[in-house]
Amino acid sequence: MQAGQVISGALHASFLVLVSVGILDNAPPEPRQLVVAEVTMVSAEMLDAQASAPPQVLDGPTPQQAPEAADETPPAPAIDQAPQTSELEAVEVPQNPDIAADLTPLRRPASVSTPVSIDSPAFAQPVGEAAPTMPQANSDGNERNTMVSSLTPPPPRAAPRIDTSPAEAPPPEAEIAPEVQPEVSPDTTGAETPQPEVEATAPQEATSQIQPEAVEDAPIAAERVELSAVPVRRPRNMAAAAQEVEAAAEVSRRVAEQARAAAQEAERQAAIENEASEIEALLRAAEAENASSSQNASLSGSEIASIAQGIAANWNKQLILEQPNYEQYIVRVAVTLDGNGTILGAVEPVEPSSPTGYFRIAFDSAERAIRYAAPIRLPGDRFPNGATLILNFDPVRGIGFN
Amino acid sequence: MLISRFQTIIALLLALVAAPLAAQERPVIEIDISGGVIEPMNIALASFVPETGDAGDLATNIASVITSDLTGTGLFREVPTSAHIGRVDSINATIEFADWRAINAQILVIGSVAAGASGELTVKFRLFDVVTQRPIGDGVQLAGSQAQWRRMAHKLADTIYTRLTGQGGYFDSRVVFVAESGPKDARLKRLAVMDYDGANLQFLTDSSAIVLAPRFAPNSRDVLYTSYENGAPQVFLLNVDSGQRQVLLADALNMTFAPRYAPDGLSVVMSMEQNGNTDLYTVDLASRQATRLTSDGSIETGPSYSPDGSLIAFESDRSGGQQLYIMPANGGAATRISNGEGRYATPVWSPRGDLIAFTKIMNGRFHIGVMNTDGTGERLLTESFLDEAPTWSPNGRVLMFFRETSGANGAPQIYSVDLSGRTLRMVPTAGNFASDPAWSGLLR
Repeated sequence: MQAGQVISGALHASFLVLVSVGILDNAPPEPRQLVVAEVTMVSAEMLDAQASAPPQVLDGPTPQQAPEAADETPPAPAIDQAPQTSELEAVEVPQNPDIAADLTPLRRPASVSTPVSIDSPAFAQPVGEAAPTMPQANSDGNERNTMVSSLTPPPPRAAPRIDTSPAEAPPPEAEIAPEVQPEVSPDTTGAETPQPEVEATAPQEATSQIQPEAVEDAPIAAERVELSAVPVRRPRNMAAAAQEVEAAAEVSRRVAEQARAAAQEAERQAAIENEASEIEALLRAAEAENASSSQNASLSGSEIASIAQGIAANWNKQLILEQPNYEQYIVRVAVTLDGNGTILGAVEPVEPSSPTGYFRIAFDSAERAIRYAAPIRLPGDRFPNGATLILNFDPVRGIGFN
Repeated sequence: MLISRFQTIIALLLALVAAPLAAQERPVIEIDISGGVIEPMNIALASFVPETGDAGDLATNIASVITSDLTGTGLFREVPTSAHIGRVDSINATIEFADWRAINAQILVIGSVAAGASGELTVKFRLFDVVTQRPIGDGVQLAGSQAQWRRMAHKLADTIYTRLTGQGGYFDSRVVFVAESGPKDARLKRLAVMDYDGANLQFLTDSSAIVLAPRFAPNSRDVLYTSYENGAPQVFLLNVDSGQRQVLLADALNMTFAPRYAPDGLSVVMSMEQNGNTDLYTVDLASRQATRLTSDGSIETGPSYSPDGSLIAFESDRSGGQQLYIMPANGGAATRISNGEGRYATPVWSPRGDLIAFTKIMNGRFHIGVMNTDGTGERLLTESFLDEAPTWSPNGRVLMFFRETSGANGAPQIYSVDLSGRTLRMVPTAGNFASDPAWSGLLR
């Protein structure tokens, strides 16, 4: 009985071990998804490159064993990847080892940042090595002409690979996951804090991981090539999680982009508003300055008296005083002078604007007085462009017989 | 909001750009002009151009009459021909204003005269403001007979005067008056008529009877006057052209005097003495029916219609002394309008309707004065030993009256004075003493 208990206990223990192993293998904890979320921040092309890397790098915390192609049926390529498939078929039976596999897109200098379509020949060159891209959260083609940042060399780990991504910072569980350490930024305080990541040497790491496949003379079997075109084996839950995270990230990114666009638009409008306000303020100031300068250019009392006296000395009121009720024949005239006091244009009646009858007599008398008095000197320093005089001729004022 | 802001900015920009262009940044300064001078305007009459060979003298004479008319007003001063720099060869010549400005001419008159072989006469003229270098109105052409050259000259002067002053002229008019001759205690008196300037004097009556106070009819052809030819003063009607005359009220045995036409010329208002009392009456010229206007026990005389014929101004001693009153044209309550010191007589309503001229006797001196129709604004224009019987020019600007000097050899003479009182002139009457002038309206 005790032996039975021992056997039973051993079996239960082994069962529990197996079960525990199965759980670890099939149901990774949620924080793992967040770890994967860090991976999805890599663009599609980067994922392609990573897909061609040894699976153990991408495969999670446990060291990846040799690929077991027989165990996994690669997911069917997407329809839009058919051309790649055909190209792969072209090299399906390689006569020589695929040494010529060009991985330059992965090593392109950082200066190369031009938008490149994934349909472009330059991108098609490494197809032989490229694996089908991971299922994208959004494969409607909108990203096809986006900036392929993955064509640039992988930024240093310290650099925020996801600096433009709206993805949330990994939760604390992900940060402490030891298996994530080699894969993600060593930063445990969040991807947005670049300081700890400076110590990482991402380019070297990426190069070391990819380099083996780029080794010359590496024997590549046809089957191997085929298998290499599909994603390496990954846990299903990992892929699903990655897909979900990718979708969420995409949505977040789009929302963020829209928010950013809206913010930029608002900022632009605000800038225009501010600029318009400044222009308006400047114009108003200029106008006020003009008006102020015009109004400030005035004459002193003695200067006004001098001008008035000069005109009055030539103002003959004889014909005005002949009129019955001559008191009412007050005329207001305007005369424009240049800087030398010369009359410019006509002497214009202001009030009444069209003098007739006795008002006409009064206006003619005023005009004669002005023209006789011309040039009507003004202080040149204050009136370099002359002035317009509005003159009120009141026959009652100063009436007398000379 | 942004659009409206841009609109504001654009408007401000336009304002900033346009304002300097329009005003060239010239400030506006307002100045009141007071004082001034009162003096005649300098007027130059370029020698009128004779367009025909025998029009030279006429051209000179016409220009001379125009000059005399204008300068006689006191409003214009002639720039003598000897000072002229510019020459005008044609009525359509281009005026070199600088030449006329150089001699300080303010007004320039140019003209031409053409005399036809059959006695016709054509006169043209143009008027310019030398200071503003603008023509004043269009050119004018008159056509008539050579015998009428004087009237044509007066008419041209009236036109010039009207254009320069805004008022109607008075040069083409006539004056009827009492021409006197002989010693003071045995004067011979005759009716005479002349141009307003004393020319063309004609006697209308002989000196067989004393004549007084002639008055022109509105048509300037008929004259009312008072004559003693029947022994007592009576009002007579006289046609100047034909010389025919008649007693206004043939059957009246009472004294009638101081007649004056109604503005419509259809009736006459005058004084009539009945039973020792003098009152005002109107007489319809068609029916010769008299209507009594006053019935006061005092003396009412010297009636004068307002221009619209609705009122009559007259003098009365009903208050104890000679004073001026106004009453409705058909009689009724009278209102005294003279309230100053002294006595008032011979009221005459201005053709303008705004003033009443009168003779004032105060402190042994006589004055010609004017007042508003309500008695306010009295102004005395003259003063002498004896000034009396004012009469208005057709435009209401000038008064004629007669002035008699004192002494045994004192004699009356006609004078004119403008409303300012500054232009006092003796009117020539061909060597005759003259009294009781009456100015006609403008001739037609």
